[in-house]
Amino acid sequence: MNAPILVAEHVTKRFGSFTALNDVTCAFHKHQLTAIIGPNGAGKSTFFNVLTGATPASGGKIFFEGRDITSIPQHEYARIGIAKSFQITNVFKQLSAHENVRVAAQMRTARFDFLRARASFKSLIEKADHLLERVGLAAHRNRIASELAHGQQRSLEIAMALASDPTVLLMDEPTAGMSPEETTTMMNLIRKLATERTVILVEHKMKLVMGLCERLIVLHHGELLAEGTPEQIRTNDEVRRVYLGKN
Amino acid sequence: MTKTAQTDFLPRATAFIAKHRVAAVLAFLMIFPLVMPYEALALNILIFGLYAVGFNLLFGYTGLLSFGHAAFFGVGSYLTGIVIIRFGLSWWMAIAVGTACAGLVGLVIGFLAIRTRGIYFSMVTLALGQIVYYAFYKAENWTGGENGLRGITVENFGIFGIQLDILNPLTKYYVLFVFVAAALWLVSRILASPFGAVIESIRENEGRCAACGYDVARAKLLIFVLSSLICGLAGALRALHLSIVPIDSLHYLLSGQAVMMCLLGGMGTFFGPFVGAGVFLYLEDVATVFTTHWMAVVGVIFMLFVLYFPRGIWGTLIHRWQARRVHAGEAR
Amino acid sequence: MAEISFQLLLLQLMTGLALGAIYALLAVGLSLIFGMLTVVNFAHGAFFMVGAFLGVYFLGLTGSFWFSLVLTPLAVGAIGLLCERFLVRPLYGRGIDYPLLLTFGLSYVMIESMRVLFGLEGVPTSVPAELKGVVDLGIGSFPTYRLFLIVATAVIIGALWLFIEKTRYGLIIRAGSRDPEIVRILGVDIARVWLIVFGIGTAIAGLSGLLAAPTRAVNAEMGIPVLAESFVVTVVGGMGSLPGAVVAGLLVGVVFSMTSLFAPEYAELSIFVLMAVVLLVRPQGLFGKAGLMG
Repeated sequence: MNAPILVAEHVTKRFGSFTALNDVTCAFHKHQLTAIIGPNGAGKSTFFNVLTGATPASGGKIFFEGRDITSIPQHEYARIGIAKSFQITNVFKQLSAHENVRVAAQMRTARFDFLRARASFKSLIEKADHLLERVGLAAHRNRIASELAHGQQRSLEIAMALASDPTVLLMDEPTAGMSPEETTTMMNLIRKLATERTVILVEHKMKLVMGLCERLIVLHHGELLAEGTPEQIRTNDEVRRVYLGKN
Repeated sequence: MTKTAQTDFLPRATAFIAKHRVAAVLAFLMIFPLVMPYEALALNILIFGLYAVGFNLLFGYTGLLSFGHAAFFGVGSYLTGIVIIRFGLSWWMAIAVGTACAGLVGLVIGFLAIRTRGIYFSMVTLALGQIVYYAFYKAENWTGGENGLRGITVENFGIFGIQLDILNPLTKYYVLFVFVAAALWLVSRILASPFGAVIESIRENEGRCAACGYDVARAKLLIFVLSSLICGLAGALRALHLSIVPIDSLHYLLSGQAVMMCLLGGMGTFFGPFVGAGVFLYLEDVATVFTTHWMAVVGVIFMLFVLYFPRGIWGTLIHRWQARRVHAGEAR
Repeated sequence: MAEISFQLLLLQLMTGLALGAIYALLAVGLSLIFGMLTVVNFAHGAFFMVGAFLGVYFLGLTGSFWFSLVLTPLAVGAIGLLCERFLVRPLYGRGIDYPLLLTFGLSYVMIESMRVLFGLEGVPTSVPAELKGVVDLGIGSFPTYRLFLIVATAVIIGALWLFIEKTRYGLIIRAGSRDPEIVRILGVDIARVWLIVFGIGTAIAGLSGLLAAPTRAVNAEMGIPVLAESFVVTVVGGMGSLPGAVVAGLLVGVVFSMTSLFAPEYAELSIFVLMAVVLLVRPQGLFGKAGLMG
């Protein structure tokens, strides 16, 4: 097994008196495709938000490559190499697909440069084109993001996430609301992406992740229920009781 | 036949103008005073157009609705006047000082205001702008208080051996025009830069922008300062134009004027603010002849635009023409 | 500086509370509208100004301050209802800036309308006969009318509190300010609730204008500084928080009057500085939830 790249230690998240996450400790390993699963309300999305810094944890710590990142600001995540794709489509609606990716791509090279022309950063333009091609949007390069179909917007988001050259890519239900064909395309893309970097998915479709992921983390009522290979999870009695039993 | 030629021409012209926007705007402003009924109005439109352009950087492109921009306009005016009167600085040095001070005030107000979001931002900028108003109102020894600052003189000067008479309105127009041209060039550079893309992405989706790795607060502060510099320059030019600085230059109603001009013309468009300033000031000029209740007229027109033409005049035109173009080339 | 006696300080404190009472009322109206509709009413100062004019007008018409006290909020509230129904409502769902812009334009129209109706000079006012004079508070004599301002505000805010906490309508308003969807699901016509809340908010603004009228000059411009001041109060108290509006209103009033005692030239500035400090230390305001800001 590879070394852990992202580690959650005793992570707790409370909203008022409600505890959404309770003392979750788990590790994500380098170059592994891991899924966080669990029934609705298990705390998956909360865990995703805490891992990506979107919501601060009420307790516990998060480490990335051994460094404590629990309280770094939101924008630092992309810079240290953690990118995410949101569950609710989250793009720059009035900008073209290409511009969406280009903005994300320029983060490393030209953040606050306000005197040079965008057009002079040729490598960024090419990079954006390359990424659009990768997620199958090359033909829609100049369309306004809000005009794209739902599945296309999700793909655009992934291109944006990839634009920051992340070492870890987190995705919150990447296939939610997609047609079966779109889902298949997306799963193939995820599989390919996972060969190059660490990918962490949040998913509630159990069947989908069983064939896709190398490792599963099961949450239930905000607590870590089980973790292991798909086979271990499939045969885990507790998981069967709370999750599979209902299917 | 002629009809298709016409429908073809407008989109192409728009595309051409969009590509060479600075040149197009400058060409227009060059001819502008010659077609206006009198130069004073042209000068006003030039100055307030620049003021609205600076405001538009923040409102139209970054999506931040400030109600405190009179502070920068006014500080630009006052400081330009004060250093001329008190320290005898030459007028072009005074412009630099006035503009820089507006930027400094922008830095302080921006630092406080970006801690808030959305409608809060509007309220807070309005209130912080009022601080500047009261401060200048009370500092009578320096600012003339309620009566405003008087007696700003500009010496005549020569360039390339030609003696320029700055009291001649047309000469004055073209002298100030040089500064406006430089500012417009800068604004266009900002908008076409990588940072220009960042501020638009803040307008579209602040959270996503942060997730992309941008420090949104810093980006906002930077554009806030840039915007206040442009507005400060507009104020500095006005001080030279009027030779006085009325205390109203700092009043929040003047902040509101930037909002109105920007929306009337078309927020988030390059030329829109000039159109807005032109329409606003021309209407004011015409309406005040017929009625003393000019504010009601402008209020009603503004409400109609908010309700029915939120894109503004220029914005609506561009949108119509662009819609005819099939999705080709740049979107904006 | 001559020594300032403890009594004088207390009296100045009372003066501050009387001023703060007006601020509190203004901010309560603003917060009520914002909490429910997420609309910042930029015409709030204009409604205050119209309230002052109509208050004086009704006083002249009926000869009774008390009649005016009832008629004015009704009339101003009615104007508010019309504005919400025909001007603000079409803008829901169009982004938060639009209602703000519209009410800003509306304030221009309202200011100019009052100039048309009552002239550029404004109208003279005086303290109603039954509230003239001073009362002895034990710390010295204090103008009856200012004491009345404090009491009247307490009564109005108390009544509003009862309405919101104890009535069915209040329940809907409280639920609606948390989650409009829930109210809709419960089968309540949310548009009507918004309409009524806007009416109440503007009626309170009008009432505060009437109450403030005898203590200041009534002219068409009087609402302009008031708008900025009520924003200060709302930012200090925390947007959408009614207790915050009351506490911050009184605080701002006291800060203003204390500064006018010690350093009169800085009185106007002081409340804005207070706001700047609050923004630095606690940007969500004294009673605001952090979520509202970010």
